[in-house]
Amino acid sequence: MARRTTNLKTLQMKNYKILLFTFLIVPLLSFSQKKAKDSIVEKPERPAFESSSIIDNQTNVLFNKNTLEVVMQHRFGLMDEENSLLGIYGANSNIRIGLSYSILDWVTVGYGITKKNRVSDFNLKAGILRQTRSGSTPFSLTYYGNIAIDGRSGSANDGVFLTRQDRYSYFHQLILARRFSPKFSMQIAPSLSHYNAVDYGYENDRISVALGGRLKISPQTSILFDYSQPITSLEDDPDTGLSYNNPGISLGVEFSTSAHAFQIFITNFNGIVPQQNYMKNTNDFFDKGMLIGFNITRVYNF
Amino acid sequence: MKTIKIFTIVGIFSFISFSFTTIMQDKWIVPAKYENMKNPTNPKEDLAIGKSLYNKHCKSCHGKEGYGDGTKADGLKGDLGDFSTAEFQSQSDGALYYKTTIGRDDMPEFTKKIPDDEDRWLIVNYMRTLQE
Repeated sequence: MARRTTNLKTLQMKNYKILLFTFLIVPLLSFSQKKAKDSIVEKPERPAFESSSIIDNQTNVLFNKNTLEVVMQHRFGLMDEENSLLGIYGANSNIRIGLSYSILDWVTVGYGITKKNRVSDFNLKAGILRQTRSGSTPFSLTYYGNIAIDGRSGSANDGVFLTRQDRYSYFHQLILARRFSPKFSMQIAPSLSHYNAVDYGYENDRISVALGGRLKISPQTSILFDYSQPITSLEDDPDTGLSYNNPGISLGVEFSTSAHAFQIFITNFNGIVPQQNYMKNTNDFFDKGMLIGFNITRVYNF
Repeated sequence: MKTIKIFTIVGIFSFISFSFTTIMQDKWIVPAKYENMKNPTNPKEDLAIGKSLYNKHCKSCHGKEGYGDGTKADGLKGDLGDFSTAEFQSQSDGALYYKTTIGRDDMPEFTKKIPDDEDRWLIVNYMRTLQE
């Protein structure tokens, strides 16, 4: 009996060896197959957009490895504010200064600071799929996400944070973009925003979807539009009666040169940081909620 | 003493005459590999993309028509060339491709800004349309 068990054991051992060998050889086989396929040239499509953002949302654009992008985003006060020269002198203006660096051709990491709530955000953008010229991959798929930290002092009238975790908020977005022609590109971007701490009775998470596009009207000028629709419904503010469910509507133009992109637009979002826009916005585009804003980028290649 | 005087005079004259010469730009030598390189693109296709790339990356120095009169041209030292002239257009496609790709002095190299070789060929094709 004992001998039979040993026999069985050696047999099992042998089987394992065969299995192990097969598994080890599989990558080699699949590699050689991949190489054969690669001989068919599949060129990626040219970028769908000029810069890494389209007004209030990110685009699928990723720069080459070792590219530094400096971003300055500004949102003036509300255009309807009295005696404010269309909001230019207005209160509640917001600004973000950000840096992002492409560590790989398909991965960009960044950091930015925003005036509103003294937010610091760390972000990551990664290309998953690239549209090809033959159309075998009809669209690009890109992930964008961030971790933002509310940096206010925490005194009673400046937002109260019981724990450090209460300062954190997160944003995840999948960007599906397609360049339809050299002039026209569009993207759809579903997203999830999450705040660790919200006021009593509110949701911590919100699912939204954004639709954006650009139409080139001259070699360097394009018209941009960006529409952000919240899907998860939030309650109105009990104190002010303001709604948190207004869609974000943004319209603008973009001028781009070799190293710069300049976007000027009208929008109702003033948060700049995406989860702030998606969850905390109360401006209604059609009810005195419009404001002027601009984004400037400078790209350095190393 | 006399020889020193003569040398001084000759020295001064030669120094003066130097100040009337403009420093000539060295001839831009294109390696044979590029000089004879075949343009892989169809020069009639995708001209709009070439124009768009030219406007984005080249116009600010070389000017809209390639006269070398762009808004940034005054700040540059070298001769920017005139793309509309027959002399300029007599260069081979490969030579233009080399100069646009590699650059020298104030002319930057464009392999990072325009990583796809095909896109730089499209710019060459567009520069051909600037001949007058």
